[in-house]
Amino acid sequence: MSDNQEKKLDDLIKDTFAKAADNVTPPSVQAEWEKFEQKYGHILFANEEDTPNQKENNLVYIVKPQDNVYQRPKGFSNTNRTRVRLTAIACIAAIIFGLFMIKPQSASALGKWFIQIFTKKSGETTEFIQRSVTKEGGNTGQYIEIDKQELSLEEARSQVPYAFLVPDYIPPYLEQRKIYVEKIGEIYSVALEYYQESNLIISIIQKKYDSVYTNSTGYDTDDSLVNKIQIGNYPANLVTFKDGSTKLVWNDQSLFYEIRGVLNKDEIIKIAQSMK
Amino acid sequence: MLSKEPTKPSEPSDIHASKEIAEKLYLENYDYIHRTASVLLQDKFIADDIVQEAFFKAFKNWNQLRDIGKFRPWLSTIATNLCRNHFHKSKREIPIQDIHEADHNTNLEDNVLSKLEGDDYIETVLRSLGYDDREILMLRYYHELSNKDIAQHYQITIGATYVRLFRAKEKFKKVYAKIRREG
Repeated sequence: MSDNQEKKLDDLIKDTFAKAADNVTPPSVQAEWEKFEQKYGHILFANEEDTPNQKENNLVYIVKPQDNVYQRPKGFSNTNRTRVRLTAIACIAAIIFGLFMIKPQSASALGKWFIQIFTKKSGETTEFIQRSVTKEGGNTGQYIEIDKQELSLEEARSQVPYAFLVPDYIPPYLEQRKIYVEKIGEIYSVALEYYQESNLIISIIQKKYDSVYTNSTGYDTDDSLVNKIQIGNYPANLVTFKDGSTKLVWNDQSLFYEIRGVLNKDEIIKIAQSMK
Repeated sequence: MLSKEPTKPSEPSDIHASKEIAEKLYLENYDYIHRTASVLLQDKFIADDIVQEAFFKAFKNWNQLRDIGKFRPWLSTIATNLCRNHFHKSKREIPIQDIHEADHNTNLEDNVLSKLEGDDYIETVLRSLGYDDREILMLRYYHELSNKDIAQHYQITIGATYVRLFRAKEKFKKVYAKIRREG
């Protein structure tokens, strides 16, 4: 199309729309304003009573303030707020799921890991020790009867269905020995207690488990010192407390051992190594 | 024809008299907006409602207007958007008949674009255009917006605006030529 034709077309369109607009007969403006005021005036227009501070503030203001309507603080819009909430929930779910996926699946391992979280949370003052014995065929969720009695060594050996150990070495100042056998369901626990003038000095506990056993203990490292040592072929934890008492914990293939008492480090290790 | 000069900016301090200012703006702009809505919608009675709603929205969102001198273009935009929404919701479109028959005649001779006598053709042309073409031509030739302003209005690129405008003009030319040919 030539420039001339282009201009002609522009003029024609302009003329057509101008005529179309001129041909419209709007209603009376004043009457429409009255209708408008009647319909929307109470929503829109401020009056002096409603906005006493308006002039002082010198605001550009034409709309009546909606005092009774809660105004959300500026920030996220409703849509954005919902999006943020959903994102936060998704992130939390992803983190929880991720933690379970990257950590070991067995309960005992998860337990250790879980407690280690709190170890770190409480700073460097807590140490966690966990020992476990695992065998197949354990039962859970049953009612268990507890039966505890004091026996002689021979009686204990005849009653307890496994060969528990007795230390060859005991400090010579300990005068008295008591043996307690505790039966918890099908589990036998043997406690050898050594006394000096009726005061309990050493307690040696041995337990045998038919299934999974996990023992977890937390120590405040401000009050105790944990050393990893070796008893025979098995790793052990030696805990030395500020009050002078010690505790030694270890296990072999089937038994769990714990020696605790008012003993120095060398004596408690000597007792443990003498157990036969 | 009505003056398309925008309302003279009022002094900010005057705006306290909110109702008076609103009335002034309403009275100054009502005709212009009503004519726009009537042409776009091709229905005077619907235009009445749309115009009232446009003023309501404008006053309600008054704090979004940065320059009171631009009240008229701002109100026009609100009104145009309301018209478009209404039109597309109601899907009220006049069928265009036999426009394609005129396609082979679009290499128009000068006399085809010469003005028709009277105003009878106007309604037919506008109705035959379809809403979207009618709106963009209205913005360009009645509101006299630049291509840049039209691009802003539709939130499209200037290139896309040229294309839309070109197609709308071509459509206008075909419709007009057909009416002229049929006498």
